[in-house]
Amino acid sequence: MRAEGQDEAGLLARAKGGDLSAFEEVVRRYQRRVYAVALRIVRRHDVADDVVQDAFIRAHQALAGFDLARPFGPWICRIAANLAVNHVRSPEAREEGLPADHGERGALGSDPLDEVLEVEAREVLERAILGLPAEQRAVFVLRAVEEMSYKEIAEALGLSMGTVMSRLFRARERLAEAVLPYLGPALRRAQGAGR
Amino acid sequence: MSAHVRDRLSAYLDQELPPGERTAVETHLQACDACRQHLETLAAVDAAARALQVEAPPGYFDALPGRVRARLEWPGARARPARFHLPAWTWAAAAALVLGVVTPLTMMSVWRDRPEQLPAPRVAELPPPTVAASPLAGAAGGKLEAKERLADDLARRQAESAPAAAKAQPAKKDSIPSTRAEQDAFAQPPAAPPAAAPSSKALEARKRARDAGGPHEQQQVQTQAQAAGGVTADNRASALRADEPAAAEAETKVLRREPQAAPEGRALAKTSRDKDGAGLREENVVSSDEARAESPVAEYRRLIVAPAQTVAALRARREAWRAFALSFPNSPLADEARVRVVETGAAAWRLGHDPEDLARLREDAAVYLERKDAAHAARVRAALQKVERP
Repeated sequence: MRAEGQDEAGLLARAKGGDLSAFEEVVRRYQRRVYAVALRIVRRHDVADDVVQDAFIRAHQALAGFDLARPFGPWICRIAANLAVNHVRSPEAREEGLPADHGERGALGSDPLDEVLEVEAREVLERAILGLPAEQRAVFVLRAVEEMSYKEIAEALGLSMGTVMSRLFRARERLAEAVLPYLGPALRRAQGAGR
Repeated sequence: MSAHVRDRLSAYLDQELPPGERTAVETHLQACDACRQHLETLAAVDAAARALQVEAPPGYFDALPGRVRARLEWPGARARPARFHLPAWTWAAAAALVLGVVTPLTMMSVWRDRPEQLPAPRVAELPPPTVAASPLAGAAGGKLEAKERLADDLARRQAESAPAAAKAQPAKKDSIPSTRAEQDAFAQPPAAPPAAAPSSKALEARKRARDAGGPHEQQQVQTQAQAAGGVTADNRASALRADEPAAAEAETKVLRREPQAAPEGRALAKTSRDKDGAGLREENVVSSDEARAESPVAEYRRLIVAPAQTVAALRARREAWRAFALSFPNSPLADEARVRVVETGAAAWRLGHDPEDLARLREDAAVYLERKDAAHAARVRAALQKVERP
């Protein structure tokens, strides 16, 4: 039976039973989302690639205990975020070794945001996010992009709710300060479109 | 009007405030333009962040599911991160130990075993090395660039002196690694277009080996090829560990011992620039049995675990991937290693803007794209395109 087109629970059930083709399809479905989480935290394509692979490997190893009634997406994203944060916390990460735009992040040329947001503002925001301390960046990505609850973030990263809240506050303050000079009607339209 | 609530706006935006606080913030917002505008700014930042595109290199998502599956199918694909989690100073300490203790002892042994008269090739007319070779300083500093320049220089000197040395000095059994034949066989690239081209210096050295004809000459000039940057199984062990410049430096120094150069008590640093023309007549290979015994998956995992964030580290990583592809040409991971040779080379160029890195990148990409089994040509083209038209 082909894996494509199957519902998620069915795929996961088959993967849980040892069907690697089914799990491969699960990877195919979630890889972009997981990669986005990882890349936004670790900032480098090659490291994000490692994180994504490891996240799926770990998820596969933990599938036996996974409740199929739960959504897979938040779970795999939490695993990836945890791995990514562990990486940026590690001594060898040495984040200062690279300029913010050094990572192999791929071109942004087809960005639909270009229609509503000045290129400069987008770049400033991007640099500001990448310039956040790694742990603030992780919390911000999980909340603002992945829309996880504070409780989910706290569980994923092993933090208290208060720490999540304070880190998120500091991250947002820094980002707001960075992009404030560029905030114009376009960004506010983007706000409307994003919600 | 109540006090500003700016410190609670982030949590308010996320609807994570307790009901009482939430009501208080809402009451304040009705009367405070500044806090209301700040809340709008925070919301705009979130929305803009969500709208930012995150794109991977072309073809990446086509390959990823299969790569994850390959790892699941290969039980040996477990990472062994502990080696990479050692603090950087431990590598420097290990390098210092090798250079300060092991190498001198080995040198003394080699010196004792050498024949009384070794006709040294005359290389006085050759230009002096471009880099003063101080192994300890090199190990401490981890200057891979200096190491490469030194390697080029030594290779050039050896290329000039090898035939004379070969005629004068028959191969000495003790000085040839016992696993040489195995290493040579291991080093052979696949019959199809090579996984990754050695540098032009390496190719030139190998050509000279063919022209020289004799087995000893071939062996000698093969070592020139290695010194010039070509990767064979002989230096695979060092290349695979080359993520840490200091460690790579240490291994490279050990690889380039000069048996005839140093009398007892003489610093190794002097041997590599000995004006009596020692050169690299013979190279004992300090290989890693552990690395050789491991599966391709284990080595692959070791290579991908740690990031490389300096030019030197990226170059070392590039050569490590090249060594992997040459060592395991039939592994399912070889293609990925070949692609990473290009991608890592591109990263080295972007960070350092060294023309040699660019030339190597173009050469590596061209070789890959000529392969009939190039599964990720799109990634390689993308890496090349980003460099050519950033």
